[in-house]
Amino acid sequence: MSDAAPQDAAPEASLWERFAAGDAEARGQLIERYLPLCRMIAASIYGKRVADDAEFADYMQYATLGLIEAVENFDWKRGVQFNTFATYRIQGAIRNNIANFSERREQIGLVVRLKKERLESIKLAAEAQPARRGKSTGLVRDMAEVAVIWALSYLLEGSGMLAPRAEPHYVEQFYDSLELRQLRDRLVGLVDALPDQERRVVKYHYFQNLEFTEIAKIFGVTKGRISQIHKRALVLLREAHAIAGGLDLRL
Amino acid sequence: MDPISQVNPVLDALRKQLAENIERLRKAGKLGGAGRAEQPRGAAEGLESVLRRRLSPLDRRSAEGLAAATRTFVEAVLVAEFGQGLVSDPAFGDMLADLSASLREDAEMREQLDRMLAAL
Repeated sequence: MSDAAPQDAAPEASLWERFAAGDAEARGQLIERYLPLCRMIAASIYGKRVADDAEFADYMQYATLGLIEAVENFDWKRGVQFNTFATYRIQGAIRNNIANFSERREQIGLVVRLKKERLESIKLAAEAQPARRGKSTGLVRDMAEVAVIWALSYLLEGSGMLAPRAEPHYVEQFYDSLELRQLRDRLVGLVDALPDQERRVVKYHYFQNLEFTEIAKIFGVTKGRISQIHKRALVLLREAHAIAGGLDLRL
Repeated sequence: MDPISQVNPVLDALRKQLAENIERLRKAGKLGGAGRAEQPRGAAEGLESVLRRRLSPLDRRSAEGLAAATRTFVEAVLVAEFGQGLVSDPAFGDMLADLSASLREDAEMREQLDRMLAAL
């Protein structure tokens, strides 16, 4: 089912009821509903950081993991506001993980890991493309497809910093230049046009900085399956850009 | 990986959904009807022709030459896809450097790139 705004699709109480009954789709919708809260808390703590050990991407990742844990542990029948319950969980998840961050600096950074799994995912992107460019053949066409899909991934990378959010004070100029910025904004806008599954994977991965393994847990599927959906999402995003090409996005 | 064939009915269904969603966004006012210059997609000169012309002066026998050729390849592809306007963007150089370097860091991709560059 396609819906650009799934968080508004159902009343919250019914989502909790469905989740309690084991509905995985309701779980995903609950998590998505509170992603803006996550971003706000991550931004707030990031804005008050005293060291630059970790990047904003790390704060967002820990915040989202805290949110997932909060959703899984919340008892909606007690009448407590989920916002209140989740805020403490999210703050705790960020602070606990960031506190340990310097101990794990020798490990590969999150950004590097995300990039690596993206590249693995798109390696066969060319196979997903229809033969629409008869003039370019064989390996050249395949490699060109990979280069374009890889560029789309690059442009989406870090877009979580620029996505609509509650606290704009920490916004940084990701691209000071107009052309790339406009292209990136168009792509971010077109993410909402993707089919439901592909849109959710892109948002979790690029806007919330979740690794494929973490998204796989939310979806209840394997990491390999998420990798496939990610690849297909970028292929479709390219097609969406071609369909809507030349149009302004008013975001 | 699941190779998606050109006649994959799942992908066809997703493409249909994509087109419907774009139309929905357009009707919701998220997409303007005009404003940006048409993208020079599919330029008169074919991509392979552009690549041969641009790569011919480059010495592709050394690692440095192959890295420079990869960057030229990525630049030509992205300009063909997204438009000539990218070239005047000061951030485009950094983007090219990052994309081409990361592609060459992967052994499998590097091997395919080198094979393609040798054939051009």
